[in-house]
Amino acid sequence: MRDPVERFLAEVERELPLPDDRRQEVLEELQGHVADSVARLRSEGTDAVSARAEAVRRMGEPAALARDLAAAQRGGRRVLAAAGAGTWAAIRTALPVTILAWTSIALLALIAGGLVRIARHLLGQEVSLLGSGSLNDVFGALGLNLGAGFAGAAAVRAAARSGWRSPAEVRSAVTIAGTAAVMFFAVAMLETTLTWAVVAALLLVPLSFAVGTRFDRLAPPSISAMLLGTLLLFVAGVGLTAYAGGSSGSSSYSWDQRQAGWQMVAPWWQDPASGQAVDFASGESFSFGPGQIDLTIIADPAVTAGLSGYRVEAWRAVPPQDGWHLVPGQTAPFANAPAAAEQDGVVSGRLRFDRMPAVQWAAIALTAAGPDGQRYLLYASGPTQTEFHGTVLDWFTGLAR
Amino acid sequence: MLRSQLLKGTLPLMILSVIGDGELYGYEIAQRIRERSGSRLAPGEGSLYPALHRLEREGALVGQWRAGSQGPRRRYYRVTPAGVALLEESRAEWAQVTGIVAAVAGSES
Repeated sequence: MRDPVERFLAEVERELPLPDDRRQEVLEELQGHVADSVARLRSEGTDAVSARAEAVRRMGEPAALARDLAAAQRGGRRVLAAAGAGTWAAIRTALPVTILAWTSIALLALIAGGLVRIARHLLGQEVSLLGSGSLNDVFGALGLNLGAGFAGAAAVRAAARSGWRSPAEVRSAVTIAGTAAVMFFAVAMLETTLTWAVVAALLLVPLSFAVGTRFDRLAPPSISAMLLGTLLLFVAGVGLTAYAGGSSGSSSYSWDQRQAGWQMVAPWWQDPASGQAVDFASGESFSFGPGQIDLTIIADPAVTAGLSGYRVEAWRAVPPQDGWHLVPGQTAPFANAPAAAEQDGVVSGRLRFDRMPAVQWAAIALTAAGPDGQRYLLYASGPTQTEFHGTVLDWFTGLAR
Repeated sequence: MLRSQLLKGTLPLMILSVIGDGELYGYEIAQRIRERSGSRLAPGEGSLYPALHRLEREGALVGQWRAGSQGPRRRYYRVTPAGVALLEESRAEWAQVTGIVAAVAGSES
């Protein structure tokens, strides 16, 4: 059986959340005290074994003593030190882990792409992989979850070390404060391209941080191990891609806007002179900014006489793989903005159409109100891919509109 | 032996008192308290150290490691001027408390 003095000192050491130098000094002081106590008991006639046991008994319960010793050593500044160290450790851990997770995921996708092409060669038929831009965004958000989990663990370790407390003592505070901060970042600050899957993955980020705080012994692999792993993935990915060769090709589509269902939007405006429906597509000018379109139409003022209230509108469209059309049953555009008509026939407007959750394809139209109050269609575009861009908070605000 | 909870709040006063204007290390302080109380007062010896460290952090004591004539080095504590002021204040408070408790507990009705 282990000596009671050694056992006592080992337990105090294990439970004493102080920096190494201070902990050693405290232990040395306690060790001296117990040695004096044993010597005194021995001089009073107590046998060696009983003297050591009695000296330890007089010191009291080691875990409680360690807690009291740590509390006596730390002042108010330890709280600030713990908060600062925890925050810094969380950031310092989250960044490399997330970046490496993203890199690894990208390289794994490269490997998967190479394997798919090889399978296509071997089997002589189309092999598809569940992969898309949206899936990449989900993987990106999952990388954030990994970073948040490791950040939670690192924050608890650092806050305990700098606050001179045990991990159990700081865990609740780190979990509450850290989860709230991560929630704010993931939901209200981080602007990215969103789909429902990405929103779900981002909502998991605070949870990942909270779970990470429960595993404070969990540390990410060393930087060199992570770099080596990434390098191996890179070599495998590039090698496979080079072996498989070629690209996976791209799809093309054709469209006929007259068949696309624009009649549900408005009737085409007719030239008062000829009585023919007009379409100003030949005079169009598009330019795309981030999530927005600048549309300019050059129209014959004689044809547009009597029109007012010009508007650029975005309507939902279905994916264009097999021909395309507007999503049926729509009664209003999901986004619109006024357009200005100049005297020389130039009509221009700017529309931002990346703020509607879950819309992936849009068709752009220019409409105006006729003399009869009816809205007419002057121009209709082909399908345009769009993605919601903003924060999770924007996403839910958009849904509520 | 007196109840330890009753003694806990008085430990700083006893520590400052037994050190006085000398220099003592932990075990000696515990022994002095035991001797002066006629062995009726024996605070948990471990609890002495959190009290010593708290007094040191508050500036009432200064601790210094010094090699013993025989055996390992010891950490000796001496009372600072701030500690002397705290001792006087604690003594006055203690006298007040004991007076009040005696007046309340000593009355028959």
